[in-house]
Amino acid sequence: MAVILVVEDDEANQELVTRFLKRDGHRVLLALDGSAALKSALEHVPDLILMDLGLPGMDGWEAAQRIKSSPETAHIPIIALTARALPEDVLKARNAGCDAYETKPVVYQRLLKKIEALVNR
Amino acid sequence: MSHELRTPLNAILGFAELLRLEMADQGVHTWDSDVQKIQRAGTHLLALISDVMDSSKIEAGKIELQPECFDIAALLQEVAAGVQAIALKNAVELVVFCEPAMLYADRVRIEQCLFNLLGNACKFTQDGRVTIDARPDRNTQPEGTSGAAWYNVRISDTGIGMRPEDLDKLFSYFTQLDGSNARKYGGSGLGLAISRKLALLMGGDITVESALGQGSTFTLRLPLGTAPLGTAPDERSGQNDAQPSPALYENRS
Repeated sequence: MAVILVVEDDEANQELVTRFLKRDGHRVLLALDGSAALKSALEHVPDLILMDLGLPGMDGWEAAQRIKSSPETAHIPIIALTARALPEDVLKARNAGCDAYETKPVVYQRLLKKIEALVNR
Repeated sequence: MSHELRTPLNAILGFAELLRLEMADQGVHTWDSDVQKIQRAGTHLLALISDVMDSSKIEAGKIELQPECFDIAALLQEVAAGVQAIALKNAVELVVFCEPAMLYADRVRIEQCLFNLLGNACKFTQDGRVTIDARPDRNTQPEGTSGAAWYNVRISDTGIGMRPEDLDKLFSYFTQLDGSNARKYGGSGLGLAISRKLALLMGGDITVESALGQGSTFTLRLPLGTAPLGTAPDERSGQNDAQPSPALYENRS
């Protein structure tokens, strides 16, 4: 069981990710945009963050970068969710400090395995 | 635009998957085939959206190629591994012979063409063989140089093949030769047209030889261009070897 912060602005996708994670026994925190994600990461220090990159306001790249550059939250693994696996997107996510990425539509079996590997690292 | 179309579709596909799992948790399998139909149609729609987006970008001249140096043989191995599942399903033996060569080209777009050609070959073959034969075309060696000008990827299958009169239509948008094929084999009917346009855009081409019942051979021809000075010169040496040592990879399913 891990505490996972899900950063996602689309309501249906929020519910979907939440249901899959809970089904796998995880506890879920939600944030709708980058700044809410920063706040929640500092306050709750989750075991892992699932970060959608295309967010309104502060986007996922900036949020990831800030979380990784703050000493209180730098250790939290981040999995980026991207719409397309364009090489520049993947590179940008890696440069922002994301530990892994998954493309949408999410293949949940694979995502859950990645979460497990990163949480138990 | 693409993002706006995909987001709701991702929710549809995701909830269908969740529904399937939660029903299975409760031992209910009554609606499995219905849910599978939602998933299959949704996945088909997702592929259509990607292809329609791509073709409209190509038609508008908005595709920007992003060339980089890479080994075409390594890419071919990756793509072959990616279509293994389709090959296994159709009892297709996948045989890969490829000679390494460094290309300076848009790797992602070439991967897209290869996935399309190889995916088609595996999809339209049943209990047969798909062979990838990839090597520099030594017949095109410009005089006074040591390297070939083109790299050819030949993808041959022992599948259903096509009539000569159908070959002309093959590279047009939205033509799967037989309407019922779209339902049987899936796909958008755009893939080949997109692949050929991308190949032309990259200075190459895709050609086809086929006969009904005799299988098909598609050839993706790519220029063995060199990278502009200053971009990874070390990596370019591979293609200029006077006597390249052909490395042979084999990959049987």
